[in-house]
Amino acid sequence: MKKRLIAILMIALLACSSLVACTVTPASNEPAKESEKEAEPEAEAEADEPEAEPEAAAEPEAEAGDDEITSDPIEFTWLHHLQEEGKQAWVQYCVDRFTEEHPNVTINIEILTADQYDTMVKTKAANGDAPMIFDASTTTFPEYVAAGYCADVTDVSDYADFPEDTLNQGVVDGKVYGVPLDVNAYCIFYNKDLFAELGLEVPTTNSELIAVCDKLVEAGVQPFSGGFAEQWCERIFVNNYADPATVMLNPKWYEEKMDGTSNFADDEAWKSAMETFASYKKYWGDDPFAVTWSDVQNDLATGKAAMTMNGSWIISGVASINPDFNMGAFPVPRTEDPADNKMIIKPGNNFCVFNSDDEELLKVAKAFFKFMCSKESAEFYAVSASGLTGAIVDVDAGPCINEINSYQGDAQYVQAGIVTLTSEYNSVYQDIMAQQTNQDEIDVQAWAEALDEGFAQIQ
Amino acid sequence: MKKRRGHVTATKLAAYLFLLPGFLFFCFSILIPFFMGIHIAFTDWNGINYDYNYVGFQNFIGMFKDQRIAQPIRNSLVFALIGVVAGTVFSLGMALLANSREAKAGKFVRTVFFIPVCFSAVLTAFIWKFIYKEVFFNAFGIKSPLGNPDWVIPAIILMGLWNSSGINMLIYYSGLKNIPTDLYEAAMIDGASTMQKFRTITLPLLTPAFSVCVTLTLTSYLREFAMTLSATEGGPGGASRTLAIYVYENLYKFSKAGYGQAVALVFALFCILLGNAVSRFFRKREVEM
Amino acid sequence: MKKKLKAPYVISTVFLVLALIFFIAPIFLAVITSFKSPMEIAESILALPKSLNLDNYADGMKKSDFLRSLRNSATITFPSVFLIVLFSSMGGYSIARNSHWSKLIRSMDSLYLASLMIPFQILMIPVYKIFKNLGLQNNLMGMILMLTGYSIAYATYLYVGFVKSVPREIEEAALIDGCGPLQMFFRIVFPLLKPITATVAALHVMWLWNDFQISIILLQRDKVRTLTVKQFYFFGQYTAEYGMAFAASIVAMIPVVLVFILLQKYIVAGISAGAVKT
Repeated sequence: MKKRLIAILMIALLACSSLVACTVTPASNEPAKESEKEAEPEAEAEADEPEAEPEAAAEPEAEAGDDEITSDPIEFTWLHHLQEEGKQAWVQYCVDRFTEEHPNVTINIEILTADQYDTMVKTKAANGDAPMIFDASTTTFPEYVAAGYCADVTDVSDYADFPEDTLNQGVVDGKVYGVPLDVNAYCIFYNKDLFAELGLEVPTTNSELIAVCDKLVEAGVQPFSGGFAEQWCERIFVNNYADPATVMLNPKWYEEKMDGTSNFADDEAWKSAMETFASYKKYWGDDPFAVTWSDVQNDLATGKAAMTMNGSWIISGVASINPDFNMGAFPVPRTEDPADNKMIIKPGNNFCVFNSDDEELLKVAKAFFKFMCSKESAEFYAVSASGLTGAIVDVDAGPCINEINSYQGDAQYVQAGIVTLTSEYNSVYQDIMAQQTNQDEIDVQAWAEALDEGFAQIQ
Repeated sequence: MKKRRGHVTATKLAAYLFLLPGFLFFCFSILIPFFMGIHIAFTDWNGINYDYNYVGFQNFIGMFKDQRIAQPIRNSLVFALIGVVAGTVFSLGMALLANSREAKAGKFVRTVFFIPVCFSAVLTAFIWKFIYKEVFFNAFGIKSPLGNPDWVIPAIILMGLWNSSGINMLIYYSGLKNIPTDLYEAAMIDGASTMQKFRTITLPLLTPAFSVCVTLTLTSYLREFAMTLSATEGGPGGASRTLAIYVYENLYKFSKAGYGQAVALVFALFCILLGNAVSRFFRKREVEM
Repeated sequence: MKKKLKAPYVISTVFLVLALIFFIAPIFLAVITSFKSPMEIAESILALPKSLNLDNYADGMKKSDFLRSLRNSATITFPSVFLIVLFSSMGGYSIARNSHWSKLIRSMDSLYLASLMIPFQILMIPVYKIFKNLGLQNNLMGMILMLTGYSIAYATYLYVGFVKSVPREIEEAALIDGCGPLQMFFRIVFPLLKPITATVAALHVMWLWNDFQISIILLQRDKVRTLTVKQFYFFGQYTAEYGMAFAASIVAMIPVVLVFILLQKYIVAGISAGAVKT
């Protein structure tokens, strides 16, 4: 009897001690630090403290030089999803440059995959742990501004290097809440060497493009590689035809579709744009809906296909597969009038400062944000990520970017500051697009009616 | 007499204490978070704003008005049905095959069956997208089933079989190994055939493995998420969008967190009822030695 | 006797070969892809690599900060698996042996099963909240806690069924010998659960090692990131370095496969009921 009791007590003790050891320990201070030492950068911050001390002493001097933005060690997070090596280098560069000048500031870089990013920003913000620097897509930005996530950064910088069109992307009610640091061009990207080899000229009208496609087919090259296994790729094809015909002429086009004041079935401009898009079906290859985005880049890099419609990130993407690839770009010839061709420019995500209650923190984060928006930062980005930047820079980011930049004025359509489809409408729009185009014959009228029905289900 | 009673209470106490440590961990990771989040289903929270209003059962009523929910429900049920049948036959077959070989070959076979389990959904999807696109086209002259709304679900299930059958194979296999060998010896003396031995000894004594595998395969296919997301993102045109993906979209994309939570709760309840029924069916048939 | 065996043996061999092809072919593709440059992958996935190029392995390991990530993965995985095996075998034993008299214990079985139906997406925000309030983010200890708790239900559920196949007579005999519950379990029952313990351990080593969805939200600093999370660094928003991703994931799975091979020997032929009775 006694024996058993002792045994039971032992189990109880074992159970409790294991639990106490596991649950309570990290909450209490002492041992937590021990485990943090290897895990957390805090350990470094602690080690830095002696260094930070003399600096605080030197503070008055610094203040006289008016440069020091804060006296206490301060720490904040930049959560991003820029996984490409060149872009990560830019993130590191911004942080290093800033912390060099402000040694008492620590910026934690946290990186996530693009598909986890919005989820995590929301999760963190919902728990009062929002990153001070984050970015938001066209869809999420208005939601974040409405929820009060984004700090007003109107006075942080004069943004002199940014074209007004581009800057508009982050403006709500006349105030700047976000700044698009990168922009992307959407057009036809093609294999220049292959075009030269076959004696093909850059087409400027729809019939010229068809002629080019026919010649490519004759030469045994697939004209377009679409990547329609991924809806966003097909969407870019669709947008390249639809945007200049619809939303460019009527910035409220998407809003009207969402609130039901206009429908697709009677939208002749949209339908005719989709007819043109659908007329290229035979040039998309044998099985376009099995082709992924990574296949598209491979098809271009190996010369299996000659063209695609996508965003300017494709330039560095294909170059990373085939460094010798000679990429060219031209706007989609939609009609018989070359003046209708528009190089579509869309600002990338808006970078934002979180609207923290902690004024000191907000001040420092804004100062950092100012550096992010500087020309110096843009120049580094342009070269390192070989991409287009929101700010205008005069560095050479490669021949294809220069080619894109050669389309200015009327040959360019900057799509910024407009209301686009919300995530749910967008999801319906793309589902129906895939359903209607993944058929032997594309019936645009049926497509339009399906869209009206799909949108009505949400309204 | 007194001693006897003391013994019984002590055993009873021990029974609870044995359960306790695991249960506390379980509370920390699942039970407490679950109850912390449950109230969201009764609000209009959009997942972004700091505040929200309680709306009673509106989200639950909304499910019946939601015309877009029908397809994900149907897809999840198709996943579950095909997945369970194919998964059970497949992994039980694998376990029997691995068991039928002598020690060394068996070890090799089991390791081969297990290795795919270590590949992430993304990499599995990459390999199989290629197999479907190129190998299927060149060998059979058919287009990739992943781009075909009618074939996309079976195609994803086949990827899932490659990627995760190793798990159930292992459970069935250890079930097979748990069967006392003298039962077979006795049956052999009685002159039972291979089929008879399988039906009267193997199957009944494998019930613990069945209750685990069938129940969990069923519910994991009902909750199908990661593999489909990597393979098709629910496409083409929503043909493989499962209920779990739909819940995720509502929670984090469509700014309908309250509604997403409500759908998730109802769906979880459905899975619990179904899972419990299936589990009970098998548990009853478990043979206690 | 020999003749009788032949037909089923041939059939089973045919099936086995087919199954092996089904399983090995994609593994083969993964292995050859891991040796290829991006251009070689672009040209053909099926072709053999032109040379045994180890660049992907070298770059992949460097980029994933291999040694540190490996240490993080191991620090999280093995203690968690130890705790899972310990507590779920105890729990499973208790449920299997006592559910006939205690409604509470019986309902634990259902509760654990029910918890397996909860999609992780709806736990995400609360879990993050708990971790933030306890200051456990980016903490490997916290991760062990989380993963253990998250796996207990499945593992316990697995144990319940298998405990039943352990003959009760042994325990009754031990009870008469004056064996306490703790002794009884660890000295007598637990050793008999070897096959299922090996299975539970192998499965959880694999699962925890490969965990992505929990790690990505709770471990956000590079210092604490695991191999599995680091592998996603090879996938950008618009780019993917598949050669490197496969190389890194093949290296990362070596420990798991080794553990599996080691544990296999414990999934030995079943205990003989007759032997136990004596």
